[in-house]
Amino acid sequence: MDKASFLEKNRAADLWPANMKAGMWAFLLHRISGLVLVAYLFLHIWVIAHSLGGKASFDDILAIVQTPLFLTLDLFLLAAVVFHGLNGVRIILFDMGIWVKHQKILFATVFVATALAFFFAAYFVLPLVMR
Amino acid sequence: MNRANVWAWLLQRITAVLLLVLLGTHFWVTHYQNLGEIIIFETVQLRLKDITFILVDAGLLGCAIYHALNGLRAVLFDFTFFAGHKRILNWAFVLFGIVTLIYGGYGLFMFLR
Repeated sequence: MDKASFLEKNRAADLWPANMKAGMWAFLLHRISGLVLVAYLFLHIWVIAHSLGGKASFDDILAIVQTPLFLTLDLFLLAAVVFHGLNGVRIILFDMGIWVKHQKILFATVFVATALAFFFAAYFVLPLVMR
Repeated sequence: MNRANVWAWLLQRITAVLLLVLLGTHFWVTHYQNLGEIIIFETVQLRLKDITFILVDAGLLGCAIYHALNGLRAVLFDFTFFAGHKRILNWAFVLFGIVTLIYGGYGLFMFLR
């Protein structure tokens, strides 16, 4: 069976990682991080809006989201924000026709920068988690 | 692509750039400068004495809600199931966005009284 008829029979095979190029990973990771951030945003608004219930209500929930568990989750939140933000810059550059030819190296740069930001933040946050 | 979609696309880019600046400022001041300090009501109240941070947080609220909901809309409309109900979903997103903006805005206002 040749590739074209295989893909025709198995439409989901298009999504199989072996057939994915850098741009597809960038697209998929942008969407996944985006969905994570949407969920976080509305949770965040709900947490901060505890101010509507007064100071005690706000301080209570803020104490919960500053426990070691949430500080650890914050590291992954930061990684999602940095990736989505930098890859967003990459998308805007392509919209303007800039560096489109270098899209793979730009994706690698975004990925490495995200990893660096994660480890940089972990260096500061882990002592707080351990205390 | 109709006119409304072009505006939605352009606004997504504009809010994206604003978010880079606003979120960067918000993160740096709120979470990096006082790293390890437990945030309580008074901390936020003190920070929001400065009009700059009222503008940063209010701008952030508006830009983030628009960018998040318009982004989610784009993801959903890539699925044929949701793409068949665009009109009702568009109104649902607008309504949800306005309600969240008022809710979050009122929550922010509590620190300014």
